[in-house]
Amino acid sequence: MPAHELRSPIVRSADVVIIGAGLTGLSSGYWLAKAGARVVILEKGRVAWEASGRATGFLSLRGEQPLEAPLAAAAGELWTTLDEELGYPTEWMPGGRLWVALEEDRWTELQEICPQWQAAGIPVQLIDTKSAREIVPCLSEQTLGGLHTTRGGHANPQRTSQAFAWAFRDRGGEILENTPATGIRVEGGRVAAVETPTGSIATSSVVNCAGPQIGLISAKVGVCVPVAPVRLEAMVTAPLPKLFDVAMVGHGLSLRQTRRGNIHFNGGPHEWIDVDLTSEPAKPNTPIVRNMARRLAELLPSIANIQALRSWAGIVEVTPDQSCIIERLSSPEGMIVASASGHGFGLAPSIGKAICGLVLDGRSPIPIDGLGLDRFADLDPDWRVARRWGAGAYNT
Amino acid sequence: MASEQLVVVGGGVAGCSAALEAARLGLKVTLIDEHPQSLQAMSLDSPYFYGARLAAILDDASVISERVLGANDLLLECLDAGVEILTGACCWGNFVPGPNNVHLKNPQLGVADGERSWLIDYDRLILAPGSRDLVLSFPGWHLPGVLGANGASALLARYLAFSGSRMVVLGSGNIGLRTARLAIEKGVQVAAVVEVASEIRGDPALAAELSRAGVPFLLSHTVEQVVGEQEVRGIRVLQVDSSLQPVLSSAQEIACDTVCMAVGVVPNIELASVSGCRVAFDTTRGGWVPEVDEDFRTSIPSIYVVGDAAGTSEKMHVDPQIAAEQGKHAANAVAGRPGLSNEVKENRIGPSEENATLPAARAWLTALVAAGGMEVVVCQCEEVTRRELLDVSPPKYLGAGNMRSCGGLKALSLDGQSSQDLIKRLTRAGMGHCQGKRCRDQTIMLLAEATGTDLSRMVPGSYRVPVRPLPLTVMWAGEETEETRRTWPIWLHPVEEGAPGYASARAAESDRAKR
Repeated sequence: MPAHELRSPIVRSADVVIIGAGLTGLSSGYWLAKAGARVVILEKGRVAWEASGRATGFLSLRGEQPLEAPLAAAAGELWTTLDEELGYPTEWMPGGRLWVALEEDRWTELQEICPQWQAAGIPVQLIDTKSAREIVPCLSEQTLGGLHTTRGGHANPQRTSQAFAWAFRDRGGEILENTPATGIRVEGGRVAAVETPTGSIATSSVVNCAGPQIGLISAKVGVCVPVAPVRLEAMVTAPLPKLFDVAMVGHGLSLRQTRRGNIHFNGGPHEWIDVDLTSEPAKPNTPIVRNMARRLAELLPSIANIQALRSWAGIVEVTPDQSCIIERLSSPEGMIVASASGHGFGLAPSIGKAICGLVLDGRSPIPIDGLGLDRFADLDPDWRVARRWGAGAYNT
Repeated sequence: MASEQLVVVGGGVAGCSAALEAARLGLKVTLIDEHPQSLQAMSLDSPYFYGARLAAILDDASVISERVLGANDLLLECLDAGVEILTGACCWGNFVPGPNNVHLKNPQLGVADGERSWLIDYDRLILAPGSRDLVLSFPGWHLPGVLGANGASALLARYLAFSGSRMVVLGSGNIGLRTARLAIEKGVQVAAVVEVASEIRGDPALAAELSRAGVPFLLSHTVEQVVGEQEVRGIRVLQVDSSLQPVLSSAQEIACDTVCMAVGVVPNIELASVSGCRVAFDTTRGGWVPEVDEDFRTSIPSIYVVGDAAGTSEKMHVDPQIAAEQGKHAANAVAGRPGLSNEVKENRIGPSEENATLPAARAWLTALVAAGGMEVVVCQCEEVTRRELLDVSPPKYLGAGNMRSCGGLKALSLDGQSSQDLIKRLTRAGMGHCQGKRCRDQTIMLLAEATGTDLSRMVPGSYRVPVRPLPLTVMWAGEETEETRRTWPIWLHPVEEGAPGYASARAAESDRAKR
């Protein structure tokens, strides 16, 4: 196990303190540092060691919901030049996205979703089996059809996180690992400092993007940010020759072929959990990895003999309506909360820009209407239990 | 206890001894051994470094099965004693109920043969998966004919399918001497034992036996390169000075068709690790090993680890009785019986002397780097060189040469520099189809050396399920229930009307649509 060492913060003050060195925090930090702010990112563990380093790595379909469409469109633009912007490779593959159906009810769903998305201005179209198999030649003959967009693509989450971290550092930012935020000092209704086990850092702006811990930290200043943490599983195969560029959802899996050639996939039953403020949550795999292997083999039968090399688990937080939360709080003044509800990878470049604007100008350059906390004003305090998303609930 | 199910993983001395003793004590025992392995599994250098010259006969399952089982008397004794035996079946995972996995009710072991995988319930588990080869690289180490001591021993003594005739052994610790003796017994000529240290490291009597058999020892020598285009034709070695730097004028070539890397072995801890057993660095046991109490019980009370997997020593390499005693002791502990007397424990159980593997490997690595330079590949699967590893270079296929250099290891935080997983993510060293078995140890040693970090302070790469590379069609859940299929989530379930937050989200959507 890592030798966790508590190090005293070298810095005692900053323009902005970001809580959480996941992709949202790193992206926010990058844009803020680029704009000239003195930024410190606090991380209870290691940079991108939780969900950001464990994600499948593509621009989620949920980002295309009308509520988040402006962020998704802005992210799509930013991704096309992100490598150059940061100076480090992200393995961006602008191959578009494809949802396929192997079962009648899934196919019906896709046919229903298509016009809704088209009405929202998202360039998707229904394609038949033949066309789907032209895009992904190894796709099962059982495929009934698909929904395709040339927009979006996928990248390597670990490389992307590290690219943001290095680019942040190159612009003067500082990341303190193994340094959890344990409290937020508020003076006269404004944030004044963030407390850590090794001292506090004075600041007038705090960005809370602590992922599954976002609610625990917000509670320190009396603000409720409702999220439910959940454990998911993912796997990767040995490398294959290049088969397809598109990021794909189908047969209950999300998958992409990496630049190296591995098929990286996730999905399947999940367990709702609780987290705490300072420790690393357990992320065990379960026997369900066998069912995931089967699903991939059924979806892509011609490569079914490839070896599975690794599996892992990751934890994301989910908001009650599964949409992002991004808000600059009115009380305490100076605090911003941001959760991408478990689909932040693709949106991270634009969410970071939105947060940068909220910190520096009090407003986001990208529309984020409807993503505030007011939508949960009437939320039952026991919503997790009501939703069967309480710790210990399985696959609900 | 008699009605409880004990599963023993590993059909070597430790595992068989545990299973025999447990059966004798009346326990219901299943023993699982991954040998005989399929040619496909062996070709992935898992668990041993078999190298790229595997004999065609290894593809003949019935012949090989007869040979491998016939060579394992202890296993046959287990069979006679009523132990249920699964051979040719690897354990690729172990799933234990615990934090954030509370829906799982019982521990389950993931097992697979060449055709399918399945899950085995158990009450107690004794892990005895042995050790793997500690592999270091030098120019030409990818050529057919280069292999590890465990790989060579298995091919020589169990598979009876060793295809070389003249071997050079690297390393004079007991693992090297033992392998040289076995090779001679099996009719393979040993052209030399090469040792980077200035004296023979292993048992003097065994070394003398080899000398009498005409084996030359080349002390204070390192490898310059393997000679050969398509396969090993020889090896060029160089003398090293007292600071392990090569003396260039000293090069000599030794004709051989096999180079056996016998610098050391590493405990196979992957199953214990993925089970969630606490693992700690222990120089006396040869590196990272599961923490065990005096009964060889791990931090997970139902799991025991014995034999090389619990820690290796020079003595254990030549005295199989130590592993046997460990297995018996754990079986007694599982049965709830008092173990061996303290005297027996002190004399027999566990490595008592300082394990010499890591210092020896470190000396070898220093000399190999000095002789071979930085362009030598450390990760064969992903083709990562020593330089690329230490520069934290992005992989070649990204063509990222025109992008900014991150600044090498120093550009990472202190925690990053000591994290094998982070370097693995960024360089891909260890990401390939051998699952890091060929590069894991040299990678972490190179990183420790380059950052001036003591090996004990490094954070080794995590192990992942499946701990053997498994084809999807083998791993696949053949018995999948209709319930699992029906409830397989389309992540996440769509937000249902009436769910908390639903109405407000919809209202915000339609507001914006109107604007």
